[in-house]
Amino acid sequence: MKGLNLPKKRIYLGPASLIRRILAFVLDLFVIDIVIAGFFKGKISLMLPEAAGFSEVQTIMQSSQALIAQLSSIILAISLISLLYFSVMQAVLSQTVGMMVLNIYVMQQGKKIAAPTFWQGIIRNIFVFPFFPFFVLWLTEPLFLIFSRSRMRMLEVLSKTVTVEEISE
Amino acid sequence: MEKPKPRNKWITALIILAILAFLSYVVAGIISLFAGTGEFTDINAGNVAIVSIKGFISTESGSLLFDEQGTSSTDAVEALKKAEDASNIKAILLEIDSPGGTPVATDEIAQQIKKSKKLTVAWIREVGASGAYWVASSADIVVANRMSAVGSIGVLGSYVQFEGLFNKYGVKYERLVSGEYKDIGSPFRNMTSAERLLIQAELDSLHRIFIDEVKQNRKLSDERMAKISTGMFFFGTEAKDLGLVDVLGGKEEALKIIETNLNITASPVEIRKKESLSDVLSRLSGGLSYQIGLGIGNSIVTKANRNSVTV
Repeated sequence: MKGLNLPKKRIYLGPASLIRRILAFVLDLFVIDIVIAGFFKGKISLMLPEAAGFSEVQTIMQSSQALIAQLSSIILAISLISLLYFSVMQAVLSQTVGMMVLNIYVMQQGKKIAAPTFWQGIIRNIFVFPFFPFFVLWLTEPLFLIFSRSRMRMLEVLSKTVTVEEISE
Repeated sequence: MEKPKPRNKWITALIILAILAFLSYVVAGIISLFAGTGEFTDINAGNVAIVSIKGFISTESGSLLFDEQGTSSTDAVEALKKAEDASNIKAILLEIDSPGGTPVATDEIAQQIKKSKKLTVAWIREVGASGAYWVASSADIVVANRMSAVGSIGVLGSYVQFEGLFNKYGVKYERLVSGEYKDIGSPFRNMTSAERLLIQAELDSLHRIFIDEVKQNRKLSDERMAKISTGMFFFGTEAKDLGLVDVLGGKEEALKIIETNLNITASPVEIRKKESLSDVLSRLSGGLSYQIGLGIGNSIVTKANRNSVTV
């Protein structure tokens, strides 16, 4: 229909949907498992038998303080590098790999369109640490995300960042 | 709002992932270097497993930076079990150079040796005294150098008591206990006569267990045991005469005994826990600190007061 001068499709960035955010996070966990945790699996398997159930693992861990210290070091190392993954990727590209696949972005709040700074990335992703008090966030963050009106996590509010996706109309 | 348009974002992402992967590789390597796996050395080659019993014997070895390295009974028992389970291992040689240790740790090792169905030979080097002799006596054959310090079949429970020092400086020990003997053996006050008798009775009880074990292991008479269980140590030659030692010699003689008894050519292989970098640093640091302390101690103690025997 030439010459009708219809208005162009408007594309803007709005709050990312919950499903996309969850799927992006799951994909990121896979990436972390392969790229980061993969190098530590050999060491962990030497400490803990492969077929060990939860109670067996608990017994092994309780038998040696040195083992607990070593496992804690490994977990800390994986957490720190994972935090770097989220922070650096979001600071440089506004996206992690999972976000790139699901086409969602992290932006600074406000009128200025900009990727978050490195430190904003650190704050919004600090939940990756599996130590007290950070693991409390594993419960509070999803609840905040689901039940808050702004559809933001608590750490997003603190870091003044927002997760967005392309919305066209 | 418009989205930003980074160029070649997938290439950038791959570069970042590659850097993080490299960082993970390096950190994993560093952790492996510093943290031990608890694994023992491979004993697939060889037919005589050498298990070392060196330094003070306790249930866990010293883990502090300035501790002298000792023997952990947990590790020693595990090493003995591995040697027992290995089909290529025909005999176990215990290399002993220890002044003794705690009763439970000592008994744990001794019991494990007695369970072994393989030929066990204890080779005492400089010192095989007290708990270390208890361990050695559990072996089938005991070999010692003619000058090895052997025996010291007794129990030690002495400690330093500070009440006089506290009184001198006006420091008071506030005794708050529930249970009359709760703070028995406290270094902060004098021991009462009743407490002394109680502790002595316990020490005597341990001593009887020690004597019975050695008597059973070495098949010695009561008269002989009475003579040797005074806590005195004996040099190798006299120890052999007293029945504490079977053969005078060293590692070569110990291996010859194994070869003769089993009709094999001995191929020794040491079984020990693999040391991590932190274990090595700790051992070096502990050894160095111990030697520094020993040097300082020796320079303070006068010649007249020295009790050590040297040649």
